[in-house]
Amino acid sequence: MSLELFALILFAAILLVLFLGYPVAFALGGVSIWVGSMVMGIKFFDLLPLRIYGTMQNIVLLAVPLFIFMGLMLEKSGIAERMLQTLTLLMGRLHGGLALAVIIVGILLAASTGVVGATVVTMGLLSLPTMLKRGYSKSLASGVIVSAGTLGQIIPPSIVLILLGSVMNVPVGDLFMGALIPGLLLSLGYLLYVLAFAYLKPEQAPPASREELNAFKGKGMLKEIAISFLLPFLLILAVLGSIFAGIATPTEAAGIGAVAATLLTATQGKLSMKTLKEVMSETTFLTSMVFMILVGAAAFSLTFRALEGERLIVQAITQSNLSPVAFFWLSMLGIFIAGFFIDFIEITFIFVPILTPLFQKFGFDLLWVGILIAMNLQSSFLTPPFGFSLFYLKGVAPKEVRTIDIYKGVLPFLLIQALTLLLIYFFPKLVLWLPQMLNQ
Amino acid sequence: RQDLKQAAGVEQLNEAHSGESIEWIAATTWPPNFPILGEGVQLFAKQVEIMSAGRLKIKVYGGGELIPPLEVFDAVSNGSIQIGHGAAYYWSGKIPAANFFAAVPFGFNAQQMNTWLISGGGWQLWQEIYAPYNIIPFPAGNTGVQMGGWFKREINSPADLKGLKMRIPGLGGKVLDRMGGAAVQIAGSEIYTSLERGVIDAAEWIGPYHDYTLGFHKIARYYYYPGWHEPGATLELLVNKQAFESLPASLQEIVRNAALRANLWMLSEFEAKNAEYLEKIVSEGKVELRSYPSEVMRALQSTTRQLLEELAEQDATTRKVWTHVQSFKQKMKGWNQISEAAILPYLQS
Amino acid sequence: MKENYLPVWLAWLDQINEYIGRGIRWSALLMVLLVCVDVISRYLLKEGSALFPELEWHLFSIMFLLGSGYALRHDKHVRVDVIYARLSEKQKAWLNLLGHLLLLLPFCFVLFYASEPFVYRAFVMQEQSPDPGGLPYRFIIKSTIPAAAILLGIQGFVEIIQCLFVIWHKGIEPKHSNN
Ligand code: NA
Ligand code: NA
Repeated sequence: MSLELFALILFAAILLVLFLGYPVAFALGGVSIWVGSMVMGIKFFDLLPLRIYGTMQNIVLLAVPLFIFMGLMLEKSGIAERMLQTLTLLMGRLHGGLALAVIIVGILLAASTGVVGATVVTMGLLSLPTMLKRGYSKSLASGVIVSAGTLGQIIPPSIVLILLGSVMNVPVGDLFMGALIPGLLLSLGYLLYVLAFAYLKPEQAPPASREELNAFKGKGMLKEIAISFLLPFLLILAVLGSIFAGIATPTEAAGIGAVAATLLTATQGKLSMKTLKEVMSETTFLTSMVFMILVGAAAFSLTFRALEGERLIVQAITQSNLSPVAFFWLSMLGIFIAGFFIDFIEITFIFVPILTPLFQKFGFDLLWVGILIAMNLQSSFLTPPFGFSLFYLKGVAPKEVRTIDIYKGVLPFLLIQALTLLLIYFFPKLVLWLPQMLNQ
Repeated sequence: RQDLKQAAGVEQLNEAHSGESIEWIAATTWPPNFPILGEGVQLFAKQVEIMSAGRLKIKVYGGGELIPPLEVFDAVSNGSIQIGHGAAYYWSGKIPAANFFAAVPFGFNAQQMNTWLISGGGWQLWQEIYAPYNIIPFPAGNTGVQMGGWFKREINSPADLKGLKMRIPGLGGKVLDRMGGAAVQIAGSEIYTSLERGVIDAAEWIGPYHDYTLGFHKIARYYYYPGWHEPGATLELLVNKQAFESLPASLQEIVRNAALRANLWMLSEFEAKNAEYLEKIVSEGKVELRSYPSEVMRALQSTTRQLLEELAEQDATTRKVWTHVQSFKQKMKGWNQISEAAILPYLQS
Repeated sequence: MKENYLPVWLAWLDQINEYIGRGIRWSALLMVLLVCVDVISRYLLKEGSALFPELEWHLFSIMFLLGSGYALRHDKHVRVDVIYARLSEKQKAWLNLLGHLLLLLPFCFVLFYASEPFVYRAFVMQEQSPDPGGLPYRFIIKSTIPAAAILLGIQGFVEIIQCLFVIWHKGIEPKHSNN
């Protein structure tokens, strides 16, 4: 049997086990071990601990447990809910107001970190329960959270862009600048979608009731705003401020946020040993959930690479005599399809080095291509069935939110991403204008 | 790019050769396609394939593709891959003396290093030190003199190093610490943002060609030279001992020769590309090119000497290599002064 | 609740990950504090150190690797529940039984088998941080990988027996299925 056939078997078996409902981490790990051992022998997995050790040492990933700790502290202390309640009340009778607020928080978090697991889990913890309690539809709420939580990949600083810069040999600063307008456009698309959704299906994105609003205006509105809104706002300021003031790296800022959240909880008299233990336990659970998926994925991509599973896609793109436009779209399609199988780092390493000289040969601007690839890679976090962001949200979601709700919820956002990609394709200035202006 | 063109002939050669071929897996510490370093390893693999008429094929994986960059040593050592490419100082946690075979502050430049390794007994020593780990090392690349780094503030005297927060790994960082600065460890992907926002005051990377890609010239005012901490980092091929010894003598010689060719090719590319990109950086940015004041260089040098002396106290192998390096330098000193050092000023125009 | 119907030795095995988990969860708090101390000492005292970042990733690794059995005990490893949500408790038990037996335990076995020499090499070399001022004894942190394989394996075994109880002892409450 050819190697590619084994690669297909590997993928099909994982999909089956995954869909039956066995934990994602062990489905990935277990199936890969079987297929890999059958083809390469068990000795091949001597490489597995090396990969896991690489994940352990990756300091940027520390942002995940730090953000989770912060999110849990804000959730357990009730600060997050109170803040979102007040926010809803402040928005008055605006339908979908809470979802808009969540997207804006997502944009702010995206500007502070590039680690997707961190933002999706944090936002899921903070806002999903409140949105559901407020009567939002499960799929809208989860779609908003996963897609806003994944904005960190395209809004700088972003790990994808840094990797692309080093592999494509394009200055990282230019990529950051180039990604800014597309990232904001995408965010704008999300906001507009929520407004449209709320207009068409107001009952699925309800505002505060009139009674609530009257009650809110009646008794000490300003005090409530000050306590439940300004305090958490100070927290966001501590996180973002410490980065922009050059005090902390983006990863460390997450730690500042966690301490700030703990202090905030203490000032409101909610910090007990019980709360602390709960927060620590849940942080351990969620961190382990996220990173055991990465451990399973390490076994998977090790096997997938050794089986040369990527070769089929690469051959399809590079071995035919294509026009520049056809080559371009086939590359994008290839990267998109690869996104179902493997994570963005692997894709950046496997495809981009092969494609870059060809893009160059066909005369495409590499900066512009890089941003389009980054947009495309961002989608790979969100495409069912294999999108990591979807798993992360499922891991923190209340029981009543099913995987299928998340799948349904993310589809419109994927469509918005495709539209933004087209927009950038037809108007390259959206990418190139800012870096060009700043370089003058 | 003559070398790359030759590779086109590989497939025909393969067809002509009917014997069975050996397949090796290589992993590097560099990202795939990484300018010069990654490219050089690809070139090495292609040359081996051409020279051996397809009897030995090497499939190259970039850092992070198969295994994380810094796990190359372990993977070659345990035989799960046959060959690796990196720099010896990455393994200084396992073998403290390994630093000397890549670069130590105020160590060797490329020419001195090659002389030491090939004709001064250095390579022999290197092989002895790697032998217990089942690895045979080959010199396979050199970065040439690196740059001192990107600074947001001026360095006019040793006192300016006090409180300087700089991204500089390894022994260079330790020297900075001792001079009152703070060597900060930051993930590669966060260096740019940290320098831009001022979490750190300075950062060193490699030389003009690679630094240009990271865009530091957009965010830092001063570009200091020379790279005292890496006056010429040597890169290495690591070959698993059993794998190498199982090759017929002709293939062994092909691997050895291709490694030495990579050694020369990478150095030449570094020199040519750095010259080109230095001009680009100076003409494009508002960057001020500056040399470290000699007073600062002297202070760094004497701190380095103390540090290396202390490291030698702690580890017998380090002592052995450090002594070897010092006596070699002593031997070469008289000649170096009246050859390279004497003629260089007259060779630049 | 579940302790009631488990034999003593099994209940004891089941407690291992609980106690270890309750211990290692403190590394979450420690990590948060360390990061802040690191930032403050660099910003105010202008001190950089290889020690802090290394301690941080050591704690992080301890948390996610040694916590993996603890998370399995509480069924916190995420599942796609498109089909799972519709299964009966017995069917779920069958799925988990087969999954743990055919996937989880082999995975733990291979992980242990592959990482044991990895740790041993680090021990023999007395590997330490490559950065001056970093932590020594890398074999300790590397040993969290085989340790995770053992802890996950133990919990996997316990879960398998519990699945058998659910399958054969009608009317017994299945354990913690909060996912
Ligand atoms: Na970001
Ligand atoms: Na350097």
